[in-house]
Amino acid sequence: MADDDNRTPQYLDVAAELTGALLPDSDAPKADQQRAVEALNRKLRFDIALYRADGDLIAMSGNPPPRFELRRARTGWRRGQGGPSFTLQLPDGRWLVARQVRERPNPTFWIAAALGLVALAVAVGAFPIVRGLGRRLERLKAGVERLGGGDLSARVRVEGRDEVAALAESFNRSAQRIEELVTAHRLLLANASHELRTPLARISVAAALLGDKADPKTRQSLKEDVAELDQLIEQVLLASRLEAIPELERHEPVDLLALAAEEASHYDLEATGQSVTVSGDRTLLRRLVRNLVENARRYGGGEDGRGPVTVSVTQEGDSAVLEVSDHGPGVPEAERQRIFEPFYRLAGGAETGRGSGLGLALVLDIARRHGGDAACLAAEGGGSRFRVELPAAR
Amino acid sequence: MCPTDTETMAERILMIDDDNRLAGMVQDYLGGAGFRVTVAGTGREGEALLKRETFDAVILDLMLPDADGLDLCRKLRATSDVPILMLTARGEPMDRVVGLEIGADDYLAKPFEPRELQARLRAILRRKGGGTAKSDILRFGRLEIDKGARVVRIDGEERTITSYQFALLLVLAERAGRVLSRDALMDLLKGEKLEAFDRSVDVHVSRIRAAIEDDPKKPRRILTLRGTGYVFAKDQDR
Repeated sequence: MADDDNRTPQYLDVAAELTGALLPDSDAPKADQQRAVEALNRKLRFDIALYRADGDLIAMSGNPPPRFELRRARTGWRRGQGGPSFTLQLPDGRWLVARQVRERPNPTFWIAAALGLVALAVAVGAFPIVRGLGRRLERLKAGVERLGGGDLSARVRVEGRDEVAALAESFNRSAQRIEELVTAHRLLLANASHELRTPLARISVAAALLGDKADPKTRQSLKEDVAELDQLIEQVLLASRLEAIPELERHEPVDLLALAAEEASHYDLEATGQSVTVSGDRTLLRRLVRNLVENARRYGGGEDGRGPVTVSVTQEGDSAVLEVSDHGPGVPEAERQRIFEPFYRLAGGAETGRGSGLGLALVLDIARRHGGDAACLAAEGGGSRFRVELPAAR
Repeated sequence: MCPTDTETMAERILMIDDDNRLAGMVQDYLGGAGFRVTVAGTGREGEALLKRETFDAVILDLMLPDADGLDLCRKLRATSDVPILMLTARGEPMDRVVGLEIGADDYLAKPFEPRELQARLRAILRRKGGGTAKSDILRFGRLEIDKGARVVRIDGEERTITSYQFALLLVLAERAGRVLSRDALMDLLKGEKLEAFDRSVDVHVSRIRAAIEDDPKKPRRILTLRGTGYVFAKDQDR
């Protein structure tokens, strides 16, 4: 095989003879050789370089041909950068390297150009589709966000018959299901409320029917128990309703001091301080105040000579500050955050078995809903001080 | 306590509630107060009774086994102007609005204080009998301030206060839930004719308390804010 490779085909010998005849002799002046090479270059539109038998460059025309290495030189086609080149050894031992002038750039460019063109065509063709798709996805996203924002009636328009439409359809189905579940949940709560409150109403009427036959103290305690159970039901319902409603439903001006005084009066306490108006849901704010006072009365004593519960409202800058302090055992510092968690009970605290376990959690939730916050601090001289800050209305 | 035919003056009440034990007790309670109560356990039964007989007022439960109280209320309202008091235990604040919008005359949440039921019943009956329009009555639990007749009632019973005291009470009640200083109160009462001898607001307040508070020493309706003024409680008798 090696022999075959080394043997120069006959037509190449002929080409070598002819080319040799076209060029001046090897000992002709360099300028002549250069002229001849340039003539060839013009006629044939080849880049041409002429080397001596020992590998030195004699003349060159056009772009420089690939590096010529005598060691590896042999007659024939060679692949190289800038396209294939042809090397020919002339009969007198000179070497001629010719490469067709690159009128057309190399194929990689063409492939890239073709690909680019295809991409452009696709882009132009697909643009309206993509834009439509984008818009539809945008609408779908808006629908998902509306649902996430608590609007359970949010549905999206189903357009077309593709995957996006299928997605829209399945979103609508899910939304429908969620709405049904939440409605069922609400209905269940409403029914539970009804079922629990009906016997309470009976007890309440029965207590009234007892009239003078019963000891007034017993009657009063019965009345209080009914009220307490009613409050518990209310708290559970409220907690579950608030879960479903992310934002305040009402904004009305509420005089926080008046509200605090009203709630305090139910425990024969007085509220002190300044009249500060906040904007919010009166029912929720009432629940907040009531829970704090109830909590202070329940865990903060006041009845066994430990000093009374105090309720105050003041304005600090742009905030209305409600403070309820008691003289109970207080809350260890490590637990002052955790007591705002639902159903959290103080470790080692006396288990009174009363309260929904939601009271302070609701306080924090309601405060935050109004753009405020609630914290438990240590009261001077022992006990706890619950502090709620709410933005004051302007 | 059972009403007899001789008690022709007794007002006839129809109570539509599926809880017969509660209805029975309410029947007894209101019977003792001079009402004649007929009980219907279902919406259909109630409707049938209303067609057959005449009643002075209806107590209607919101949740009935065969009907929605709101629908029934709407239906009754379309054909009759009998006063309707809705009973409900749903506990959503919206219920109140809804109940009144569809034509109910009043609304009471379970569990209720029987005295309050009685007071509200009397109030809607009084209105029906040509009394003051609903919009002219301020109601705070068992307390009723009748602007038209310029009287104040607890459990439907009139309590005596002077006209200046009534004006003071009205000024407070119309601003329930707001702190009012003594100066502000005096300002608001400027137009009122003062009684023969002028007394401080505090004295008048304690007179009003004596008339409307269950325990004037532990006021629940008109509260004192030391160093600031007074506030009329918005949510009373709960």
